[in-house]
Amino acid sequence: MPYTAEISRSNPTSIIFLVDQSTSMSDPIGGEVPQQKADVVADAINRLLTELSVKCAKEEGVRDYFHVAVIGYGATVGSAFAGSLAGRDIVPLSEVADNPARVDERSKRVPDGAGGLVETTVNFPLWMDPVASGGTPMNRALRYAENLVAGWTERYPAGFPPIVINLTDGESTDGEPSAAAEAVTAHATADGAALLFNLHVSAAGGTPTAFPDTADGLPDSYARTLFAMSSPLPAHMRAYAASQGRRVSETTRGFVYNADITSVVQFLDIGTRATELR
Amino acid sequence: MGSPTGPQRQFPSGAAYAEALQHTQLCFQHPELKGARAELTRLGLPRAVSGAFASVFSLTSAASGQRYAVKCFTRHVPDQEQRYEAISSRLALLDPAGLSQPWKLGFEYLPDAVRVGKDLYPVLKMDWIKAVTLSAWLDAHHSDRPAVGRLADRFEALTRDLSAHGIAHGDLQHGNLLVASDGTFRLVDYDGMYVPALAGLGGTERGHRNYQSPLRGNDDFGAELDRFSAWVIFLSLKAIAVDPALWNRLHEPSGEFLLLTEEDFKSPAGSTGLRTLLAHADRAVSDLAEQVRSLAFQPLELLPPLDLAVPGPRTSATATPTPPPAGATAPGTGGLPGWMSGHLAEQPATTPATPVTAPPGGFHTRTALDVVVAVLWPLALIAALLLPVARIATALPGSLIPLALAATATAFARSRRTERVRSRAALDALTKQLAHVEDPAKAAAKLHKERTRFEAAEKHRQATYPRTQDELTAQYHAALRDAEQRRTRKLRDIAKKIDGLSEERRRALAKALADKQSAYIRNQLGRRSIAQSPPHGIGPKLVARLADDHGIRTAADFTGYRTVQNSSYNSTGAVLVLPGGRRADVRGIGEAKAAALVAWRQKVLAAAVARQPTTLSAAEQQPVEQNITHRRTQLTSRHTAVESETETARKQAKKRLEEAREHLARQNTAAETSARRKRQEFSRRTTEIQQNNTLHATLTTDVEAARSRQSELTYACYLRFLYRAS
Repeated sequence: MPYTAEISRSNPTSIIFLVDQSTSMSDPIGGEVPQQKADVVADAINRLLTELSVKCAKEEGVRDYFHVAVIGYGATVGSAFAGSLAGRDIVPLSEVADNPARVDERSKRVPDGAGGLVETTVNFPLWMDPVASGGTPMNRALRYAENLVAGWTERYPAGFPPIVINLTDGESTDGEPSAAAEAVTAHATADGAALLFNLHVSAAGGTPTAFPDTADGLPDSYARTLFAMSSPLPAHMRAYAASQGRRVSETTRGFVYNADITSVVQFLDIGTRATELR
Repeated sequence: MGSPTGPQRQFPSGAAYAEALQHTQLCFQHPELKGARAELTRLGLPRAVSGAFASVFSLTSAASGQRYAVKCFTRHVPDQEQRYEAISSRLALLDPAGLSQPWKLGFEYLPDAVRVGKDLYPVLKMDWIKAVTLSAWLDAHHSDRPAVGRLADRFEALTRDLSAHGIAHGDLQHGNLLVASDGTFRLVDYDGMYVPALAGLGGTERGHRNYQSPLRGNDDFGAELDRFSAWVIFLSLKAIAVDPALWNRLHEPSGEFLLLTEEDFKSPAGSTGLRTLLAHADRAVSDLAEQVRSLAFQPLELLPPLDLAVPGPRTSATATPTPPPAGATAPGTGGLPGWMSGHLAEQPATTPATPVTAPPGGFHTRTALDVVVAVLWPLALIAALLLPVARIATALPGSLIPLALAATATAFARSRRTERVRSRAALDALTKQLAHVEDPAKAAAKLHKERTRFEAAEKHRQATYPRTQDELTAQYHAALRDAEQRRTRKLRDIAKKIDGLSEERRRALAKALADKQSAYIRNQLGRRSIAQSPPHGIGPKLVARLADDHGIRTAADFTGYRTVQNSSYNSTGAVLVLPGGRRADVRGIGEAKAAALVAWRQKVLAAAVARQPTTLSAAEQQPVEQNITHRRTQLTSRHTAVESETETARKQAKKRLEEAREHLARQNTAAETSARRKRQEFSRRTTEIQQNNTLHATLTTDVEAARSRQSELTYACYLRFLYRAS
C-alpha cells in the first residue's frame, strides 16, 4: 500500500514550500482588517515551520523527521529563508527550528477567563519575510521543486515521498502550470509518488474551503486549475481529515482555498499509529 | 473510506498550545497550573515533547513549586475522560509494595483545563519523572552487560505486573519505557491503555509500528495487547546483554526501534535484523528470535505471555511461579501452546533464507573406525620395517604394501567421517543461497545505467512538450491570420460596392428623369401636326403628300434633312431624315423647303424643351430607391455572412487547437504516469539492492568461512586429528 512508509530520522521525508512572491501578492484580501496576500502567505509558512518544530520535538530537542525547503518565486526563484539559513534549499528540521531569522513579539487579544479580552504579546518566530515584486513564474518554481524532489527520491528511495506545498494567488505569468505540476508528481519513491498540495490565497471571494473533493463551487479558473494540480490525499490523510469532521471521498485533494493549511502538518503520522476511524 | 462516524471535536495543534502556554496566568484556572512557569526553548516558546496524540509541556507550579508534565491533546480520542477515569481507578488499586518496581505514574485528568482561543480543552496533569528513554539509556549503557541483563529481567517483571492485573499498556516502545537512575522502569503514556473496565470500548491506537505484530488491527483491544511488543523488547534486551556489539550493528543511531523493525516481522526472510539474531551463536538469543519470528504470524489472542521466556521458578511478590515451557499445555493456560512446539522445529526448513547453521570446524569425536585406523598406522610402519629384515618380501616395493594398506584404510575412514559430508552440504547450501541473491554491485550498475537512460529520455520528452505546445499555438495563429486576411479582402470588396451605391442611385435617377423628359418631348412633337400650322412654303398639297406618301404628319415624324446632289440635273436636292435614320425623298421638297420644315420642327422642339418636366415625382423615384435599398440589403447581408464565416473559421481553429492541446496533455499525463511508475520501480529496486547488499555480504562471509572449514578437513588434517590428544 502506498504512503505507509515510516517517517523516521533514518528515513525522513522532505517538505518543500513554494511561496508566491509576485507583485500581485501585495493586493489586500480579507474582511474587516484587510491583509496583504504576501503577509498571509508568510504567516502561513512561519506558522507551519513552528508547527513542524513542535510536532517533531522530543526530550532531547527537535528531531529530523523532516527536511524543509522554502522556495520563493517572484522577481527571482530561490531560497526564501531569511537570516542565517538564507540561500539554503533543503535544511534538516532541527536546524530550521533553531535558526529563525528573528522572534517577533506580536500583540494578541486573549480571553481573560472572566468574559473579557486582555491584550498580551506572544513570541512569534519568523523564518521568512513577506515579499511582493515581479511576475509569478510558477512553472519555474515547480521545476525548481522538481529538481529537489528528484534528488530526494534518489537519496531516500524507500522513504515517504516528498511533499511540495505551493502557496499562491494562482495567477501564473509564465504559462499554464499543470504540466510542470505533473512533472513534480511524476517522481516517486517505492512508497509512492511525490505529493503536491496547493494553498490558494485569493480576493475572488467564494467560500473558504479546505481539502474539497470537487472543483464545483470554486470561484475562478485559477482555483480550478490549482485544484486539478493538487494530489489526491493518501488514504491515511483522508482518514485523518474525516476524523476532523471533514467530508472526504476518493477524489479529495490536497487543496486549500483561503483557509488554514497548518492542519496538513497533523496529517503526517510519526511513531505510534492512530487507529483508523471508520 | 467513508465519512466519520460522528462529528468530532477538533483539537488545537501543538503550536497553538505552545502559544497559549506563553500566558499560563490566562490559559489555566486550576490553582496548581495558573501562572505556572513553563520551561522554554531558546526561542522563548514553551518546550514541547510531542507524540502522535498530544504535546507535553513542563510546568512548575507557582503555588506549590511542584513540577508537572502537562499533556495537551492534539487529537480527538473517543471517550477520553471515561478511559482516564477507568485507568486511574484501576491503577489506584495497585499497591506500590506489590509491584516489581515503582513504574506507576501519577496523573490527574482535568477536563476543560486549558483555554486556547475561545475554547476550553482537557489536559492530563502528570508527575514529573526524572528518567531517560530506553533507547537513550541503551545508547549510554549497552556495553554494561550485567546492567542490560538486569534491565531485561526488570522488563519481564514489569510485564508480569501488568498482566497479573489484566492491564495492557498498548504501546510498549523505547519512548514510553523510561529508565530511572536506579535502573528501574517508569512506564509513561497511558493514552492507549487497556484495563478490564474498558473491555468492549475499542482501541484508540495501534502502537508503534516497530514493536507491533503485523496482525494487530484497529479492533484489537484487550489484556494480551502487549504480548508481541513484550517479546520484541525482551529479545532485544537479552540479545544486547549477551552480545553488546549488536546494539551498534543493528540499531541505527537515530532509528525509532531497538534491534528489530516492522520489516523484520512482516518479511523475516529478507530482513537483516531478525536474520542476524536467528543465526546468533548464543542459543538463548537465537531461540528467542525464533520465538518472535513465529509469533509474528499468530493471532494476537493466542500469543503466550512473556513470563514463559524465563524458565524455572521465580519469586515475585505479585506473580506466581511460572511453569517451565517444556510441558506444553492448552493455549492460554500458561504453557507453550501445543501447535507451536512442532512449529518451532519446522520453521527453519520452510524459510528459504534461513541461515545454514555452520558445523564447527575440523574433526571431532573419534569413532571406532578412527581408532582402528589410528592403531593401523604404527602396525603398518613396524611391518614395513620388519618385512625386509625378515626377508619375507625380497623386493623393496613389497615392503610398502602395509603402508599402502594403512593409507587406503585412512582414506576410507576419512570418507566415512560425517564432518566432511555436513561441511560439503553446508557449503553447497550457502553457495546456492548466494547464487540466488543478485550481485548488488552488478545490479546497482545495471540500475544506474537504466536510470540514466530513462532520465535522459524523460528530459528530452519534457523539453519536447513545450515545443510541441508552441507549434500548436503557431498553427493556431497562422489559421487566425488566414481567416483574417480572407475577411479583410471580402469586406473591402463589399464596402467598395456599398460606397458605389449612391453614385448608382444618382445615375438611375438622372436616367429616369431623362427618359421622362424625352417621352414628354416626343409627345409634344407628336401633337403638332404639320397640317395645322404648316411652315412657310409648305402648301396643302405637300402636306398631303408628306402625310399620305411618307406618313410624316407631325413634328415627331422626322428629325432633320440631308442635302443630296442630283447628278443628272446638276442640282441640289434634299431628303428628310425619319426617326430611326431612314430617309424619305419627298417630291416637291427641295433643300429650302426641307430647311423650312426642320426650322419649324426646331421651334416646336424648343418650346417643348422649355416646358419639359425637371423633377421626378416620389412615385417615379420609388422603383429606383427600392432597387438601391435592395442592393444595399444584399451587400449588408454579404458583410454579415463574411463576418460569421470568419468567426466560424476562428472557432474551428480554436477547437482544433484545444483538441490538439488536450490530446497532447493526455499524452503528457500518460507519459508522466508511466514515468512515475518507472521511478517508483527504480526506488523499489534501489531499496532491494541496499537490502541485498547486506544479505550478500553476510552470505559471502559465510561462504568464505565454510570454505575455510572445508579446508580443515583435508587428509593431513584427518591424520593430525587421529593422533590429537582430545
